[in-house]
Amino acid sequence: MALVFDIGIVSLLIAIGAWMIMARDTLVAVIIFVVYGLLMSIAWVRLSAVDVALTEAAIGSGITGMLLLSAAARLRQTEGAGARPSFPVCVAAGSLCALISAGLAGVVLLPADVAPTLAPLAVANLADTGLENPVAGVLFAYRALDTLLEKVVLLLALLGVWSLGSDRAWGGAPALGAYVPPNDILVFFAQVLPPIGIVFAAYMTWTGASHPGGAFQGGTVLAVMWLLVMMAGVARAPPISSTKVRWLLVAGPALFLAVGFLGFVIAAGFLAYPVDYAKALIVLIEIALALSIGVTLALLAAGPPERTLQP
Amino acid sequence: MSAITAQLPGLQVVVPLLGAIIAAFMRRGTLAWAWATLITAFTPIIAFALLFQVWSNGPISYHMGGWPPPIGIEYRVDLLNAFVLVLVSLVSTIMMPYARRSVAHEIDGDKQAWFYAMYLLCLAGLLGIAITGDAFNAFVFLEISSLSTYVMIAMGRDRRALVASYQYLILGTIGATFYVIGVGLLYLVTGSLNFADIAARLGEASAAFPRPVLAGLAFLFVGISLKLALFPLHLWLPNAYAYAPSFATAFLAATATKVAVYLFLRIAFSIYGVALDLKALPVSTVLYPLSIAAMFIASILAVYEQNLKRMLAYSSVAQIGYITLGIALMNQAGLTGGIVHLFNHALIKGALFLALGAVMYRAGTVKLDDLGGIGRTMPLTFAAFVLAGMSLMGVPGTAGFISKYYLIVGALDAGKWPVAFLIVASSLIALLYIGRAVEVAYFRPVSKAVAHAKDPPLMMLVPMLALTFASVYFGIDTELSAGVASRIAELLIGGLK
Repeated sequence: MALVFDIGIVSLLIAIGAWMIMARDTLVAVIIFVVYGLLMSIAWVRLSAVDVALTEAAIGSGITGMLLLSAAARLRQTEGAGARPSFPVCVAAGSLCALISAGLAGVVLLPADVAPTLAPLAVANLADTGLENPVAGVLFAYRALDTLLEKVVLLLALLGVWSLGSDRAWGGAPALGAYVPPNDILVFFAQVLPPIGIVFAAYMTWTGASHPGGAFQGGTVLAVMWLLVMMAGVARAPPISSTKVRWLLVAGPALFLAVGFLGFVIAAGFLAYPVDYAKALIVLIEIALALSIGVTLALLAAGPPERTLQP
Repeated sequence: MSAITAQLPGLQVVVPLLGAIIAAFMRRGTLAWAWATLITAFTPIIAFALLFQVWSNGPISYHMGGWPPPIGIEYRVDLLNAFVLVLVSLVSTIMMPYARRSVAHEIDGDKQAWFYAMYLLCLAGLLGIAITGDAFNAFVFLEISSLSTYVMIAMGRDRRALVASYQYLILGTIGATFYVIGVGLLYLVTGSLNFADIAARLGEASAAFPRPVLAGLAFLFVGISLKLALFPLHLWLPNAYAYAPSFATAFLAATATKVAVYLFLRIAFSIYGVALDLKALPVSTVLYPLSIAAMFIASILAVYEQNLKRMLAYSSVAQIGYITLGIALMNQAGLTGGIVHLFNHALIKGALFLALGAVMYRAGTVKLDDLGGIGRTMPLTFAAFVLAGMSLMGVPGTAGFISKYYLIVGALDAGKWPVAFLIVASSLIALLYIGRAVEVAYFRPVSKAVAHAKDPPLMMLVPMLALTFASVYFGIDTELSAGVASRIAELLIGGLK
């Protein structure tokens, strides 16, 4: 039974992937992409990677989907204006990509032996971190540096988007013009959903230490809530030059760095935690990160500044 | 004191990282510049301390967060990466005084602090790639340095800067994806992300799963080749260098591709070379034709280029060809030549791009036809251009000559005299494109754009002249360049299976 289910998921994934490539209309392709991401997260659950599944659903299809939707909406006017690549070029590109993917698949399908991994070592060392979720252990203890740097990457992405705005609008606010204009239903949801969403986000972040979940997933929920509020016009998008916004953006990475520096003084070195306080410090970092991730993702989806600052 | 010494590898990256975040909060460009200069000046102090430590006591291993490898991230400094750390941090420090005027001239007041934040992040990323002993950590640093580079390029004055940045973003992302797939394949067969650990397990893994090991090499090779702009994967580079702010171009040309070459050396020689027979793997076979094609085709494209920044960008692609040629030779002299050229080219291109930045600052253009007689109105700047240009050609008595000398000896040692001939022949093309600029600068009547130009202020002049001096000086005193490079080549080749 499980096998039938798995085969079903895999064939659906391939079919939807093909459909996404075939789709002529960008907007349609983006919607198929969101569906693809959701199916993918089911596939991750089947592979017992619940943390990855949550991230895939939240980031891979949720936020990425929003970003792509707004990009597609902005491209609407220009669609069809540019020259499409000729048929032979499309076929050649397609065949080459298919060849590389097939080759990669062939290479990855190893003999039945269990491939070597660091997972047992990660579980064995978990007691020193005070955490119960080994994924959180990897993210916030063993490879904490990578996590810290990834947060910086996220911030960089936002700065990259902001630097795309025109010089005139520099320091101004995003206009969210690419999304639907506010209407009653949107306003209703924007008033009812956020309290529930915030509680849910807090739970997701808190539970990350022992169960699947964590700052990234919690932050994504926060981001979606804030986006909803901005889209409905219940609260306006803040100008990017606002000091409050900048503090919120760096709160997570800054606290992470501060705890990292503390490690120089009270533990073995940068990003080392004193054993007794490891879990408390990690949870503290996760809470700050969830806030920063929420603000970063929401502003990413809101787009570059388009309204100039009112004097 | 010893407590700080033990933490140096961590500080090498964390200092510029923290500096970047603080710089993002500054409003005034000048303040951000002063801060970025201060932070940058710290990095070579750490790098030199690490180099001396490695020179006298051997490799350093630093466990990030106190977690030992393979589960934690290890920073491992040996002679090769200590050398790269010194190069990157020192060149950046020399360039920083130059930045203030140039950046203020090309970037709007309220965006300057952001530019410096990006610059510091990029520096942190490059130093991170060079210092880490972990394949995935290197990927994250690669992302940091790449993303900050895209933003820096997009800040260029010209509208085309956006397109250039976008092209680089697409290609750079493909490169990063290939790299991470390669790392994934290595993890699949060895179950480790630590360079040394992978090297130790790769021999056995290769016997069991030969195909993923080879495919991993292919993916890593292509991914890194995109970042180091190996011909024909260099397409992003000319526009990116041409339209980025002048200071960003000089900084990136001197450091970014060099760090990518380092990563390539690390993976080829310290991972694959240690576990498998590197000469039996198709590394040299692929590198030879591509390096030689780069040396010729990119040099010829440079000859036909009107925009001097683009001309030097094509020249960079050609020079990277020399570096990869040295790697392809895989013998003592050839590898020394490749590594010493990595050092020399950083100085030379740094000097040349700083000179062009000064031209941009005074004349507002780098189009060759508009620059008639600029050698007379900006005498010191163009003297620097000519001297560094001579070093680029490889005139005896300059640093460039030392690189070419080792490369030719390496080619002859390998019994490949046609390659030695091609090295000399392609250097003559550099004479053509540098000569063309010299002809316009000194022998044409003074044109309108440059009539009122004069040498830039001292703060810009000194870094430019310092790098020019270095690109000549290291042709006479080769202790720190060729001496160390030769020792590194010895270690890399000695470590081969």
